[in-house]
Amino acid sequence: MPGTYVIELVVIVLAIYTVAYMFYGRKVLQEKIVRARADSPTPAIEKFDGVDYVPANKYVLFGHHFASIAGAGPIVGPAIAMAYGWALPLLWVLFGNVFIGTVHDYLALMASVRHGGISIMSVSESVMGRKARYIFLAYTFMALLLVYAAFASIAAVLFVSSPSAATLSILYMPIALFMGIMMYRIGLDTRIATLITLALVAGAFYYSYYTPFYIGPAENWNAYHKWVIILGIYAILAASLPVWYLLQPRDFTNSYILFTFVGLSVIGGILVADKVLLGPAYTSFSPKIAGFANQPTPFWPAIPLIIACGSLSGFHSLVSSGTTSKQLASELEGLFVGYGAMLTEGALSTLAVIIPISLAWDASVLKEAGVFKENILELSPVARFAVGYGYMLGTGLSRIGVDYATAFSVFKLFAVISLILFVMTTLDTATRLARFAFQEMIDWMERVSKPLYTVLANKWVASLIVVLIGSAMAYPIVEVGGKEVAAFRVVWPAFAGVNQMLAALALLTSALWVYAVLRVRGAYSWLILVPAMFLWVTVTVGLAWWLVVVATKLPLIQQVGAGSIALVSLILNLVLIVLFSKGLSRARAAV
Amino acid sequence: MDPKEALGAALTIIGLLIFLYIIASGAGSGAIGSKEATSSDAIMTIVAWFMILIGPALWFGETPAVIKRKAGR
Repeated sequence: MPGTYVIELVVIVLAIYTVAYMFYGRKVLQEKIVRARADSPTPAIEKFDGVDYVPANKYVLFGHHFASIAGAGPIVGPAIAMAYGWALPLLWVLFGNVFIGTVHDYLALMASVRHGGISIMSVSESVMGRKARYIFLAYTFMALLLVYAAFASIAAVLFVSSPSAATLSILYMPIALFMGIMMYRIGLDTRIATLITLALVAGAFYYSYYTPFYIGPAENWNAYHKWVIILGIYAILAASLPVWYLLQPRDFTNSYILFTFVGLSVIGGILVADKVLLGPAYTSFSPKIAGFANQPTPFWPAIPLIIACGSLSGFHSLVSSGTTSKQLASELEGLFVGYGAMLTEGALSTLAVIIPISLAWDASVLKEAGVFKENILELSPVARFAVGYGYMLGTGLSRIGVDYATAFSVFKLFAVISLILFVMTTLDTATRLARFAFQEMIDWMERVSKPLYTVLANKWVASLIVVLIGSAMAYPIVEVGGKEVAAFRVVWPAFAGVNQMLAALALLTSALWVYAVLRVRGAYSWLILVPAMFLWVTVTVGLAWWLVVVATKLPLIQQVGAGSIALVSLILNLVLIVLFSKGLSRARAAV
Repeated sequence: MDPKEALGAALTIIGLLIFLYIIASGAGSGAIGSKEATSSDAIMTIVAWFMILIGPALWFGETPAVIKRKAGR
């Protein structure tokens, strides 16, 4: 597709998302399928406890939901997928986002809201039986432990390698906490509190840039180990303290940064509207991708394993039915929060990643500056994104008199910092979600031994258990393929498959909930069932392909570690699809 | 003020003072902590950080009235 202008794609993307929200989201999902009502009390009101069940302002909740689901995923995945050219990743982000990802997130949220705020895994009991619930919960708990280990390790590595990021993260949390005090204790108007907070955050950015934080010597993983312990204590605190205290104000602030980030990419796109994309629309259906042991990676069925968050991700259903459903003040706000946040995430992937990378593909100014020799694919996925974003804004702003080199370096840095800021958000949200999953998973114990259950289900104890197991995977260092890495890396290659399997199972559960509980029939029920089945088939085939083609080329320790995780996932997946079929048959027979 | 609130207030105020002192001295020296060894200012920063995170929760404790009103309590 030679000669595609930036503005063409920007307009197409914005138009698709607007139409999707107004018609598919509001008219179909909210009004015809879920039939959301303003007068139906939500769990945040009915089960209010001041800790987890707390009604939030819809903009605050949007901020929490958006910041929690938009970690590094919507950026790294599309940046890797640029190996296919820009057309296929764009198509997958748009198609997956509108027909699968948003539906998945919104239905998980609303199913949880209608079931008292329990997780989508526990909702499965009402449509697939008790066995399905516990299998699903155990599977999710394991996945969340892996997320915890990965993000604790990523944050620790980041803080050692970029000490300014450590300073910023340390300053950021008290500022967010101060915002909560201004809003909820002092009673300051939200707009004034926001302005003060944003000014403080800007000051923190400036201060951090010039004042790095060193926890100690980096040699022998010394500083890394210290950070893993510090982050563990932080995660226990952040996951156990009331949501209104830290989580809500922190994520509200996060959302401003994300909006600024997406907004700047739209402005950048408009400023370079007449520029033609330099990158190819299509390179190959099966390029070799480094993250897949350099094997030819076919677009189908591998694409959901590459692009997760920007299109669809299982982790989102856990956030939707975990923290978000417990804070939703009205059913009618579910669309804005659950559906809107996912559309915004898709916009982030397309406008801030795919388009800028395609624009900067083999730009001569970048070659002359020595950023790359031939094209942007020579860089790591995060560097592709940062360079693309910096280039688009640098080029755009230079047209209105700003120095290109300055704008390029400032926005390249801004892109990286925006990415870093959400690592800790994902870390503590994952800890809280794992705590919920653990508490739901051991509910049978209440009948067997109430005192033991009371101790284990205590929020501090449950968070501690999560952090201890997670840290046991993040702290030790092992050798993989001749390189020293954190222990979780042994199983991490399987995570993409585990996460997307979770998405497929959550969407199947939601589809069955729509069919069996909401009793939606005809074309509307097919609108959910068909994408759910498509996703399940794609992810199942994708995971099987990964096991046969990719896992066998990994170092032995990963073949065993990640391979067995993927194999167990496939087996559990087959058990759950049988339970889904039985549930569907029961629902049909009940008519 | 009950003991829990007093502890929370003490943690918040002491934590904040240490935190602000370290931020100011960090601005002067161009870094907090050291690459060579785990220094006392780095340790104090982390301790003060945790004090600030947990202190206000103990001090103010109770869910704010504005949030309770939203939940109809």
